[in-house]
Amino acid sequence: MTKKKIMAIDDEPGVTRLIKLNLETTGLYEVLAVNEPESALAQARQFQPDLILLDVMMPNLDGGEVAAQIGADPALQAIPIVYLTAAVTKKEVGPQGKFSGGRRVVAKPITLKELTDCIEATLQERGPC
Amino acid sequence: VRPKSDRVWTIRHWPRPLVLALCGLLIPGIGLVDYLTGMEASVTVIYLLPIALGTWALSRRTGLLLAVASVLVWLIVERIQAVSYSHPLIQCWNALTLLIFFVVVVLLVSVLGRSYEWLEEKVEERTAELLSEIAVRSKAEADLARANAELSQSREDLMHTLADLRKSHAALQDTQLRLIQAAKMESVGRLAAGVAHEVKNPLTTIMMGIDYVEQLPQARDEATAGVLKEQRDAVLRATAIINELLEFSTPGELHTQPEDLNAIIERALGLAKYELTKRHVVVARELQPDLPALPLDRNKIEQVFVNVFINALHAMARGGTLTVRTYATPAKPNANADAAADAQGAGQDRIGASVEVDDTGPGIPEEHLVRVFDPFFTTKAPGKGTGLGLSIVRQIVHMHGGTVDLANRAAGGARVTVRFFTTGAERS
Repeated sequence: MTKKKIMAIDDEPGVTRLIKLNLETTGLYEVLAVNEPESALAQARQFQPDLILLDVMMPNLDGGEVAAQIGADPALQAIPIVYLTAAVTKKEVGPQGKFSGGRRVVAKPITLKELTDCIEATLQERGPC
Repeated sequence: VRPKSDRVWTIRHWPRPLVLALCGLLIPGIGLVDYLTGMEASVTVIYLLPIALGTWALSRRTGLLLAVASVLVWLIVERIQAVSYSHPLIQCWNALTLLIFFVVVVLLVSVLGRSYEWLEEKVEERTAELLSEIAVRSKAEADLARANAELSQSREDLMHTLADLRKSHAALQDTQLRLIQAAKMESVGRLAAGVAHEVKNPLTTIMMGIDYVEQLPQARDEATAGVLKEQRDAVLRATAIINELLEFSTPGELHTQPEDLNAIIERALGLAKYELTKRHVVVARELQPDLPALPLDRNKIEQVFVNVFINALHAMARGGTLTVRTYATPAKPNANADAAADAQGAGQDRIGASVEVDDTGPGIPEEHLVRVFDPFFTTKAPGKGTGLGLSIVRQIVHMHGGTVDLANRAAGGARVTVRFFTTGAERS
């Protein structure tokens, strides 16, 4: 079975490292951890992910700008993006996240199960992304 | 001077012609009676009557003239009677003696009259002085009364001003407190947002780390699994606190619609049911059935009452009774919308509602009462509460334009009173 390619963009290396470890341990995903949002576009072009997990509040370049850059690239604009952010609570968006502006928003902290459920749900939907 | 109408009407005030006529008739009359009856010499003193009358009522000169006239009449009568000892010289001597006697009497009466006049003048002067003094005193009393009235008015004005000043001072203090509170809340909000972001990332790392370790073969022994579970619980607790902070700092917008307050309270009681049962707390409902519909954000008000109920439950560690009471209340004064509601026929006592939540716990220490709504103020043990529950309650209630108070009940325990008004949410 082909592994799904997930790109995790977060300025916190601990977060991306653990996402990578956990998701890859399931045997279902191949994860690229990116901690410098400025290099996200170039790495996405090279990695060609099936889904991008994107932090919102990052120094220098925030998640919204990264999403705009990816959305502006014809080769990448079809890739679904999931915002993984500390700015919302699970009470507001639910464990599976909530669509806002066409993208799913998920609250930190998140468990592995919640994350994989969210990834699978998003990959199946694909529609709004 | 005493007015004429006040003077005593005496013989001196008789009209002059009347007195003259009376005297003019009396003297010949006495002479005629003397001639007809041959009166004794001693009776001639009767002539003194017109003489004294004329002197007293008119003047000394008139008295002297009347004395001369009386002596002449007496002499004429004596001459006509031609008595035995009526030698002309003796008669002249008798007439002279009589005249002297009459003149003395005239002088005496005249002196008495002058003394009387002098006394009367003195009395009138003194009376005038007294009247003048009375007038001055009356004027002084009137001035004093006016001054007293002015003083009373000034005092009243001063009291009003003082009351206004006190009111302004109290309002200023309230405003200052609100400003301090607002500044504090703003700081807390900023702090909360920053803390939430900074803490949630490490929490995510820990949570994902726990997830990873749990999948390792070494995590399958009981002790390791227990440790990992405790760590997960700790992360979840920390996340709950952070979420409360975020909620407190960014309460979001209100989505209000006309709601049945009793129904919201029932749902909140349902949410707290597990805790109520666990803590052996009995619920007593005193819900007025026909409350007016209020513009409320159902989810947020549910959160308000769940927080209030949980707070009350924590005060009743050994069980007790949670009494929830609702009733219609008058609207806020000076609210234009309230006046409009009245104009539409809504009773003033129907356009607001209050909720009272009583517990049977030990009550709140007086020194804590003023701080219970402050963010992070808690009397619970460390790790058992964030101190944000009642702060969030107040924030949400204020967003609805309502009020919330917490006080100790005379019968024991505490009472939280939440009031909503039909115009509250519209204003917010």
